[in-house]
Amino acid sequence: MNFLAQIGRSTLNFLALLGNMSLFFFKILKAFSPPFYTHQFTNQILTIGYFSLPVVAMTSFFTGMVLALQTYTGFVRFSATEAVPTVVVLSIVRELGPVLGALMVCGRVSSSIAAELGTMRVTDQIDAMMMLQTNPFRYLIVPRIFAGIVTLPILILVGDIIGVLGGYLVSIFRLDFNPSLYIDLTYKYLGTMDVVSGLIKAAVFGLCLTLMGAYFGFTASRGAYGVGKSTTKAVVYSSVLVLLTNYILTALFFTG
Amino acid sequence: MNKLTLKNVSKSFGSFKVLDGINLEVTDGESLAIVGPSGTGKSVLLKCILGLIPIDSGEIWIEDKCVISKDHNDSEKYPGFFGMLFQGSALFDSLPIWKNVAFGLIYGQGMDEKTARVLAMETLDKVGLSKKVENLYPFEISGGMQKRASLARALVMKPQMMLFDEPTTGLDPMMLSVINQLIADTIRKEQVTAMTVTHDMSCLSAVAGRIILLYKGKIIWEGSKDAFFTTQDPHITQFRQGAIEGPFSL
Repeated sequence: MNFLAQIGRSTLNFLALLGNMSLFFFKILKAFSPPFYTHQFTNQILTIGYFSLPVVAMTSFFTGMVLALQTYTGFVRFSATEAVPTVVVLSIVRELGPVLGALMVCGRVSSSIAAELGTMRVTDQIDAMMMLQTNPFRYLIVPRIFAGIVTLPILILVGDIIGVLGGYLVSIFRLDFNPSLYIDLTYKYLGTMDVVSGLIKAAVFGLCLTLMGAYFGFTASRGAYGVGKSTTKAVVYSSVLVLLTNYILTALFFTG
Repeated sequence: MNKLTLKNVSKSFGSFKVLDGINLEVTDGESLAIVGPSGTGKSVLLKCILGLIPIDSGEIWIEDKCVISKDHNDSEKYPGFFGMLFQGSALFDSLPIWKNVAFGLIYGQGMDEKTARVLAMETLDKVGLSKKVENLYPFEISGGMQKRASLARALVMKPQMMLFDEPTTGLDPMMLSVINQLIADTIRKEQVTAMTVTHDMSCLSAVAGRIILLYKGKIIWEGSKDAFFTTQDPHITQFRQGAIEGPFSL
């Protein structure tokens, strides 16, 4: 009986969370109206985009290198090593670049947004903002979400190039590929939709990870303990949401 | 006319009733102080009045309009009516002091930064903060200075009613006197209606005109400042003397 009660309670809590998130999202949509705080948007472009570049670049670079090595090790068994450049570039631009990049940004950005907004919440700074006739959704959340949607595709595009470069370097210097042949094979089967789908995914991931950070930060309570919990939840939920939306988008783009 | 009226306002958190049918009238220009033991709902009452926490029942009126009830919250339609000095000052960590003070003017009212900065500096001067602090960040100044900056931030918006939430908490005795005097001067010079939540007797002496005692979500005593300091009511006596024994269960 206790077990059933636990399942019921968890289900109700989850539905309540979904309901609250939906209400929160509608409030954000309502706040997408003037005045627009462009300086806040610029700051967030730097925080979310520019300062995440090293971590995304490193992730993509090492992923490209490992992918080239692994693909080669597998394909050499049935003499299909010329497919390595194509596999590397398609895997990076369609899946690994956007997903791994977004997961790294989840850890860096969702947590930071949740911690910052959570601290503002528990120290009454958000209430103070409302008392100063400033809508906190418009000032704090809209710029972060908009910056996430705009910067993630740029970040992931740069990551894609660096990831492909990683695969190229390993293939040339470790696996003795011919450089010009590798580049030819990289471009040969790469379609526009492969790149565009990855960038659309990145924009959606940007929305997911900033939304989760903002939601859990904005609804934080109970002091430092509450902020810590909110930060953890922001990272977990944004990571899961990235993986979930990745599946949905992949199904839409490539099997629909 | 009443500046603020509360009619049968109640608020619970889960099964814990924090406010239980509060009826209260604050007249124009009055300085009302709310006292009571910790956890009796004083700060919650202020946040309900501001519309930051929804109420479960009752009505909150500003002048002749019902602004907040269980079913509606029109507090956003009264921008700048209230100014609030939060317990922990609630200054924005990421902004220098002058921008904290000018925040509402720039981002709330759309004033240009240059004019807002001049007004902010004038108001900082009024609360006794020198030009030296204008470019410092909140964590670089003392608690007393933070309170003053926070007061300046509220005053620059020219509110009709000021709410003070434990304005002297955590201050040394000298700074406590300074802040008390500053609040009293502000209420007198700016001619604002004021509502102050405090535990501090010196703050009550300096600031209050009328005093109410809140206990377990209800108003159990109400009277003038003079009556508060002379009454033999056992609740007030215990509160005034800080005694452990008495009607308040601690």
